[in-house]
Amino acid sequence: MRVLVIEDEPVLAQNIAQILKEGAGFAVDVSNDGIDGLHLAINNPFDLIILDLMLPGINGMEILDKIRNRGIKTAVLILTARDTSQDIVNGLNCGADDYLTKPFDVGELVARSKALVRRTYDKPNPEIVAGKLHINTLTRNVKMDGEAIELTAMEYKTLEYMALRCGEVVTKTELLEHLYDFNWERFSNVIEAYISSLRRKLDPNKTFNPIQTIRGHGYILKEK
Amino acid sequence: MKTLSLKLRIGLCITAMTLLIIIVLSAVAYCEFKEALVTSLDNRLRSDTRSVIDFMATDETPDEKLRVINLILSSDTDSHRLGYGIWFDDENEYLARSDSFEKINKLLQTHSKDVFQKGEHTFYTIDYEGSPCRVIWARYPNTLQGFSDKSMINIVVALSGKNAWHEIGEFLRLLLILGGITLWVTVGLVMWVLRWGLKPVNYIAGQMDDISSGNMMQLEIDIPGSPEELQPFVIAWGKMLKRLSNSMRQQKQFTADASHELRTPLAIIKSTLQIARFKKRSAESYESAIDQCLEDTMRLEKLTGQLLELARFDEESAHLQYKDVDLQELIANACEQYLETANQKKQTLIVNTCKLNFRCNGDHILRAISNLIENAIKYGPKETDILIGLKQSDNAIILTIHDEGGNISSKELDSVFDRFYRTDTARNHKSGGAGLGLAITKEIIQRHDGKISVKSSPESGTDFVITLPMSLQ
Repeated sequence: MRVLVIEDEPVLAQNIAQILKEGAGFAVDVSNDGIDGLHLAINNPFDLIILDLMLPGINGMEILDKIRNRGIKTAVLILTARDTSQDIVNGLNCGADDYLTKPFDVGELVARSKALVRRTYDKPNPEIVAGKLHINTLTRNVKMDGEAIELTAMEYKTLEYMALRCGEVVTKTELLEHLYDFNWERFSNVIEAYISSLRRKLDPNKTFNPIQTIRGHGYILKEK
Repeated sequence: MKTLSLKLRIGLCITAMTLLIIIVLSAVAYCEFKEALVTSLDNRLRSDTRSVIDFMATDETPDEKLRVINLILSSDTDSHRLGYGIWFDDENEYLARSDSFEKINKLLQTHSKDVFQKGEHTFYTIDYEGSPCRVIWARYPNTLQGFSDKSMINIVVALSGKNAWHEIGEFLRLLLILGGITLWVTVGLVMWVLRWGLKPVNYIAGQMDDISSGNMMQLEIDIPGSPEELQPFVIAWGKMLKRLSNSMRQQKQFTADASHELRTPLAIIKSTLQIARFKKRSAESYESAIDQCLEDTMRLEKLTGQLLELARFDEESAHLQYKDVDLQELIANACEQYLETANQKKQTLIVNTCKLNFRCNGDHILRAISNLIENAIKYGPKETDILIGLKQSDNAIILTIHDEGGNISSKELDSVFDRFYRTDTARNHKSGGAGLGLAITKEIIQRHDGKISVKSSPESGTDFVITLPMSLQ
């Protein structure tokens, strides 16, 4: 999952990024000013935007307004020092999905972020079931036909994203865009490598064949 | 005492005036009417007397004359004539008289007897058997033949004023009734007019009632059809609301800024500590977490100090702590504090001062100067000079601080002294400070009745000028 953090305080922005990377396994992009943040939000397919309100250049509310007016549906969590109920109401009415005030609890931020992403993909249950595949997104445990499977961090992220969109065709580009932040060099053969190692680990005997390749398009994680 | 309502006051005023007018008019009408009635009585008495005198001048015999005169005066068609008497001067015998004349004469004696000139007459009002009575007493040269030795003849005729006085009473009663009706109608009319006239005031009161801190800013003051007398009030009221809502907005902004400035370092400290606890980490990352927390704790400490300082200005009676302070020494002390910081940026502090004593709160003035020097070091470019000047001109002390950084735009110059204002508009604290330093400086200078101004341009740098009045003491 890829997250954009728009926060002008560099130390705090770095902390939030670290929390989301370590606590939720998200790929995080950070922007320290409003105009840059708006630009990033418009041009990249983020799964979640964490937005501060008092920003240099452009106010957080204006960013939110512009994003929503362009029809971008990405979930937005406002993270700000403003804590009056009037501020919260204004933020939510402006199109935000959630509101958290500073100083925040790290665990709460992670839980809310994960919940927002689950809701985005219409998978409110933290445990995703696709046929014989069970994925617990909280503990990051994966079971195939009742058997626990060890995955690397990137393998898990790839599987989780495909599970959130199970039954749909997921292109390599989409996988790249949602699993890596801006600072990574992206090569589509990395995805191919992860998919093949996932197939090997999930289905060593090739009985279930959970991940299907749609030639020229991408991959599908079977729903049943 | 309970204060009367405006309506009641105006109502009472107008009612009292109406009452006064009614009384005066009634009194005038009463007097005129009475006068007219008395005059008509007098005219009758005069004509009676005239006919007696005229008849005396005829050729009839004296006995015949007296008989006819008795006849004339006693022939009373409306029985208003109470009595009469005719006699010569210095004579106890009456030539002619009615039965009741003795009584009338007795009553007349109580009035002072005027000394009549030739051919004159006087009128009297006497109380005859409980009712008013008008009497004429005429004294004429004798024209009655046969009594040629008597020179003057007296004629007294009395007329009952009973009917006239009764009419006066009737008239008075009518006046009272009419006056009462007029009064009540006036009161009713005045009350109605007042209620109608005060409608805009009630409307304003209703609007005032609707004002709360929430809708103050959106409220447009407009009273439809308000009379022009109320316009200044409505305008002044609108202005007052605008000022109030402005100061409330500033207060809100201040709270929002203060909460942002306080919560951000707290959020950093909390999240840094929670991240450190999240999993086992290297010694270096713990160390940097501790450093980060320490840095933000110091930032919080400074901010809390500044906020408290601003809050204390309001409760302190600073004048009590005023002492004679050597400003030259004060500036030297301030410069010493920042010598190291300036050296780090390879900046030179050039001080050009003279010995000058000023009665002030030394700690506060030191803080004000220190804030400006700190600012100059912060915003001045590396390897430049910072000029600090102090001089006296006329009755003022002029303190200048100059740096080569000219990055305050003219738009921003107005706001640099606002609380939490920072020229970079970013709320991050890379350059340190929360934007309270200049606000505190301005507060201090204003408390010493001084002024502070700033000029800035990229070519000539930034100049802060403080002017303090010498005559403060």
